[in-house]
Amino acid sequence: MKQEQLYKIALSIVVLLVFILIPVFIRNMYQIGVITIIMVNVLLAASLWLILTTGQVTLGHASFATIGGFMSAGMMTAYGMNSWLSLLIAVVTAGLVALVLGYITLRIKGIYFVIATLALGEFIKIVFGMWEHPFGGLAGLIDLPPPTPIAIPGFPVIQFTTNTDLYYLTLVFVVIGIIILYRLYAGPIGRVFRSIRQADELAESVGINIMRYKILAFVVACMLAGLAGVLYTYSTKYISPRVLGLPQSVYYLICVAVGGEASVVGPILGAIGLGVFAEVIRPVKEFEPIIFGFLLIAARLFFKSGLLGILQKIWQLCVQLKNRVISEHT
Amino acid sequence: MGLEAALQSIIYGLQIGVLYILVALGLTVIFSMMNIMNFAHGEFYMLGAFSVLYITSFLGLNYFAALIISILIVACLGVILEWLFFRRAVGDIVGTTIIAIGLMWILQSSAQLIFGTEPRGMEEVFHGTFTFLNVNISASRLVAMLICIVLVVGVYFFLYKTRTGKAIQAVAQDREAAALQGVDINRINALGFALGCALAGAAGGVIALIFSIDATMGTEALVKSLSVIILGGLGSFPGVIVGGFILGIAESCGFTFIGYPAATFPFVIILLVLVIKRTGLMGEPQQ
Repeated sequence: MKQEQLYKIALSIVVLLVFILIPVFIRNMYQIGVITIIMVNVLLAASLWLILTTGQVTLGHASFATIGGFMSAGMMTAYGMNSWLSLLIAVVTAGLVALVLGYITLRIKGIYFVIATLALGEFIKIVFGMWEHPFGGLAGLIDLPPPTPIAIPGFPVIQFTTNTDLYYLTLVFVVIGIIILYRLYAGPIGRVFRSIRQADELAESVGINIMRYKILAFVVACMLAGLAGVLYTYSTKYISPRVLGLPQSVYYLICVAVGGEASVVGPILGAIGLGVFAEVIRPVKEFEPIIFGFLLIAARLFFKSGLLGILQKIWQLCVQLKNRVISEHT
Repeated sequence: MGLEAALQSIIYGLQIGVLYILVALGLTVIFSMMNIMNFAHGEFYMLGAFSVLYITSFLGLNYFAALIISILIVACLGVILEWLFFRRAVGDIVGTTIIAIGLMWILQSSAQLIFGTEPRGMEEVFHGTFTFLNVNISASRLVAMLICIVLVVGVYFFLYKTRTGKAIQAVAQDREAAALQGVDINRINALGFALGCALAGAAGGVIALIFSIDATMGTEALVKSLSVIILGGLGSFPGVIVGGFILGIAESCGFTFIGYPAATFPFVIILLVLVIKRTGLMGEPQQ
């Protein structure tokens, strides 16, 4: 058990190192941009996964990214606000919207939550489409300024102008987000999430306030989605009511379904895997959504454990093989 | 002036309301029978609209013939999809929801690929405008309204008066008990799913008479019909009628008097109902 944890930590550090070294090996700025967006999707898929662990399906995850992106971009362009303050406002706004929506819909069992999150997506599109100042209405906001440079006395000023800078900025926030999600799920609260998903009536009967935990998961996840939306606007320098809509919300669901739901590693694998896959099938890009749709259904019907499950199987086979080799030698 | 505008809005509201009823009725039939919230429902509506457009413009068929053929096409597609996907996951709410979402995504993006992303309009089939008490209604809207009313009444007759309709209701009330009474569950499920999809397709075929259509029109229809069935009470057939008329008239009057913000009504209605009375206007009380 102890050894397994060591392996896990070692593996995470290796993976992190690979991601830190990516800009050293890939000098193409377009590709760095694509990888940055994949990282944003990793954060969105991983946060969506937290909601799924409480047994809820959401169709409005991209809406919270839209809220975050618009709040940050609007505050920066219209009022010249410091980007770090506007990031904080964006994340808090996303959290507040999630709190209200979650409080209303999550106390009722069944299908209401999915419906409300779907409707929220349409609502957000209409509201930001009407809101000319400071959100630019239907056209949205373009040519967004880069994040405010960080000046620490005694160190060179950190600028965020090139794609590489933005990649590192995104990576830092995504890693923080994933650590939050991992700690939450590994701790006692995560155990409650799992118990809610498996048997919510039983969990309630032993005195757990299910609603509070479901709302907690939803609000944390949506704050991270808001953060991801802000990172998205940093990287694309653009936000409109339509760029992050229902198709994106479905895309993050597909990431989780393809990657696997057993741990936070699943959505990370799924988002990276699908992001790379999308680049591979770029020549037939128009068929991409159709292929992804079938992937979602196939993953749900036939591969419930996803890519993560396949990797775990391979790992188990390796361990068995190793044990057999050792036993043959002794 | 204000009164005339109000009357005009109410007439349009009634007309659009029957259309919502038609779509939402299909969603309710499927939900109450199989406990599946079919998020792909709006796509069947979109397919109905496009097949009417193509059949009338390329095959040159009469509108009514095209409508009937379109309804049959959409119903067959529904049966095939039910058999391929939903049947494997009945009873698993997360599973069926995800399958429905996947289908929504597949159908919508295929439609964008095949039909293009530009809005399309059908040639006007019914010409002229009727004026009654200073209220104008175009012939297209009148025909659309009549078709919807006929279909809604027909579905009611089917569900409440025929043996098969009663079997559908029995399955909706209690699956196991219905099976024990000798109802062939799989057959009835397929039939109910076909009926639900056919209603969406019919509504799409009717809307093509009035508005321009495009490949992503399904999402809006889906959100509206979800709002209707939550307002009426999830799973309640009479609730759909009441909810459809209320949303239709509210939206129509809203657009006349407050303009574009009225587009947020479906979402606002969902939240209000869940806050005030979660079972909706006519839903069964929950335990």
